[in-house]
Amino acid sequence: MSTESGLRSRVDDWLNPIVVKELRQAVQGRFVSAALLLLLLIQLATLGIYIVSGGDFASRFDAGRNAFMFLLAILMAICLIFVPAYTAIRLAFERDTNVDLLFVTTIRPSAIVWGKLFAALTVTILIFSACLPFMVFTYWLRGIDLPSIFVLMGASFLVVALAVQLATFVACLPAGRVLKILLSLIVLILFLQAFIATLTWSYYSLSVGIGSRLGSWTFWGPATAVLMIIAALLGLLFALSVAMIKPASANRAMPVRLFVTAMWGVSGIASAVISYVQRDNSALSVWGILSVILFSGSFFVAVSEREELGPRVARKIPSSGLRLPAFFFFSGAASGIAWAALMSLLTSVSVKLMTASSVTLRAGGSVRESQVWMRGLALYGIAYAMTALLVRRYLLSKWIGAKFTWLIALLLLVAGCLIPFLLGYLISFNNFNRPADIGGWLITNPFALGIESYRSVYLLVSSGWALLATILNVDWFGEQIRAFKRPTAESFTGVIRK
Amino acid sequence: MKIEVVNLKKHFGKTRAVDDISFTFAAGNVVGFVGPNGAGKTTTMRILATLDEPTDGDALIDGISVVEEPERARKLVGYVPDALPTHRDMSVHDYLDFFARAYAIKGQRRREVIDGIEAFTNLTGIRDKMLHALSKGMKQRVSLARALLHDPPVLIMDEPAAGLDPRARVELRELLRVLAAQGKAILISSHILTELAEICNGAVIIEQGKLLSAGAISDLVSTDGLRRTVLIRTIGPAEDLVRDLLQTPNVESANPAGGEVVLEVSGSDEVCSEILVALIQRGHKIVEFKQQHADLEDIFMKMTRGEVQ
Repeated sequence: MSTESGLRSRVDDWLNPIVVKELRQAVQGRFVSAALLLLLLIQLATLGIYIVSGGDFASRFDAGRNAFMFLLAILMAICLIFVPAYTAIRLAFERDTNVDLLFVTTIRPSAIVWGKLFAALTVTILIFSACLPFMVFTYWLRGIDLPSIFVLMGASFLVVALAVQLATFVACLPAGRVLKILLSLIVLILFLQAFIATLTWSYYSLSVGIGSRLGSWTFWGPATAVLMIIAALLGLLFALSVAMIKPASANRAMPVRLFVTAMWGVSGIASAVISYVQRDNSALSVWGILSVILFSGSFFVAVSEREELGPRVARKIPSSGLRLPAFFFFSGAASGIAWAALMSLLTSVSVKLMTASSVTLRAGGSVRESQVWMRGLALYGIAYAMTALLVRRYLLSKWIGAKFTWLIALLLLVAGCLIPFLLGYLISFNNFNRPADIGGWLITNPFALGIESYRSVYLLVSSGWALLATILNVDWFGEQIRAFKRPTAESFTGVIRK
Repeated sequence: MKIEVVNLKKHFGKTRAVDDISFTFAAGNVVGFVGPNGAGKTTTMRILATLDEPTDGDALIDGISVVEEPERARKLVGYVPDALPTHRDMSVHDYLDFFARAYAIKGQRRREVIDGIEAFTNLTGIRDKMLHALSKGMKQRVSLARALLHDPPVLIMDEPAAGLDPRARVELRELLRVLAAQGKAILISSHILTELAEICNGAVIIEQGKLLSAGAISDLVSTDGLRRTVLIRTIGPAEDLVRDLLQTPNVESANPAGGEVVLEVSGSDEVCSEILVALIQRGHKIVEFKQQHADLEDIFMKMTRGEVQ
């Protein structure tokens, strides 16, 4: 075997099987090639019509820019619909019919999701590469420079990558067809917004100029922040997709919680550094509030997780001193609530400690206000999740399984936000001018924390409510904490080892 | 190589899909897994294939627990589910190549393995055909080929003969015979009991998640109590024969059926022989006296009640 063929064989073996399969299917199927040809024809026709009907290009200095915007709009429209839909529909179909066959092989769930994403991005690169000559041609029409073209193409590619990962996540959800279609419609609206936002931002960037700012921090500062946010979102969606596609018997929650904890730490440090450099704690406050919103949502997810660990997960519980920290990261409803509560507490405490220990970090912004939001959102999150748990355990256990507790929590939240507001509004109809006029009615509404005169009442009520609901569920917590131990050999009936 | 299912339980909420079943079979055996719909066959097979975990109990494949070491156990198992391959825009060869890669079979060996499996399952001639263009029988062969790629010593097949035409069934049966002769342990579920009886040398019968019987088919037949069915043909009126038979000890029932009399006897071969002697002594001209052996279908029908949870 020659060196070349040996190398080719090694690279071939190294490739993710899902990538090979997906790309082979893309080549053999007519859909990808048809879409690519159609896109090229549209691009060619658009550019041709634009040039023919454009008149005197010698006197116009924005012809290239306008032509580029047309072509970018066509490219993004095709890529934001075709690539995510193509990837998600295939994955959803395979998830429902064939994914079991992959789980009896040596392939890992992360490799499945990564392979799908990589193949989709390869198709995206193919489409972008095919369009690039048309895009670059607009440079000759004037009004746009080459760095701007490449920067905008790069940014558009990142938006498509995010869209593909979001569509992949929806396809991985273990939901019925109807729910998936509903979610797809919501995702489609998000894509439409992403399409509009990308084009608006591109037009704005071209207006103020990109090429001239490439050497300055005014470009790279925000660009780095946006890149970090996109990387974090991609990572989060990837971790969630992998968790969703894993078999029910796996320790699904652990990679997600580990990733979110790491992301929380890195973004916290980055926010502190930005706040320190800018002598304004706004970045830190935003980080704190966004983190707590994420953890409040986690209460709703955690309360719907499994309450009993299967033997496969149980056998991975560390028997040493690592058992306590492991509890926060292992799958399980009680573990999830404990983790979200701990992370909310750590967020609040770390913001308080950082601002207390540095004069620079105390400057600007309003840490006091963000502290109220952080505490309030976390407390309301616990209160609603724990109340939903009580309702499911004592009132609806015959009809609703644990995995739908989030739905009860969501309905309670909607009721808690709407009903008191409507009652207060009707009763104080003549005196109502602003939400503060009925502030007393809004004690179950976490979004009312913005009403300054009632904040202490809201915090008191949410604390008491969260505490009471947790105490009433203490037996449920106790059971799961006691069960969180590595099973002994005798606890499996009938196990015979070789 | 031995497969042991030990006190296996799988509960879905209050439903006991598999309720404390245990059985064992060894390499070279083809074991039929029989039970009405909803008996727990697929659940048990999925646990053996490491796709699901049991609520309690375990299954050991060559001593390796599917609960404790699923990664090691699944290397020993080839699983053929009841669903057929449905990938679009994919040829038979690409499908097998994809799964060979997924089983981490590398380089030249992958090509050799795929060629070998294609030849064994008679897929070489259709290797470039698209999966969606294949007949059900061909798809089933592709599914079997996929399960054999990593040369597993254990094969678990869920309803492989469902929907196949007679020719495809015969081909599948022949392939399974060869695989059993190669020393593979095969667990196969099917509703076509006559089909199973022809290829299986063992059977496991379950209903409502509970094990009813397990063992070699010959043992199951012989342990079907001491109740036998005997067919008698005689010259002369069947009514006289029936009347005399009903007065004979150990005869539980006697019914005329198309010129013959079918009787149920409780007792051993000795008892049957005594009945024959008694009939001849009473002057009956017996032309034929034949014991009917129960087959898998009879055993299944006697043991199960067709109830689901």
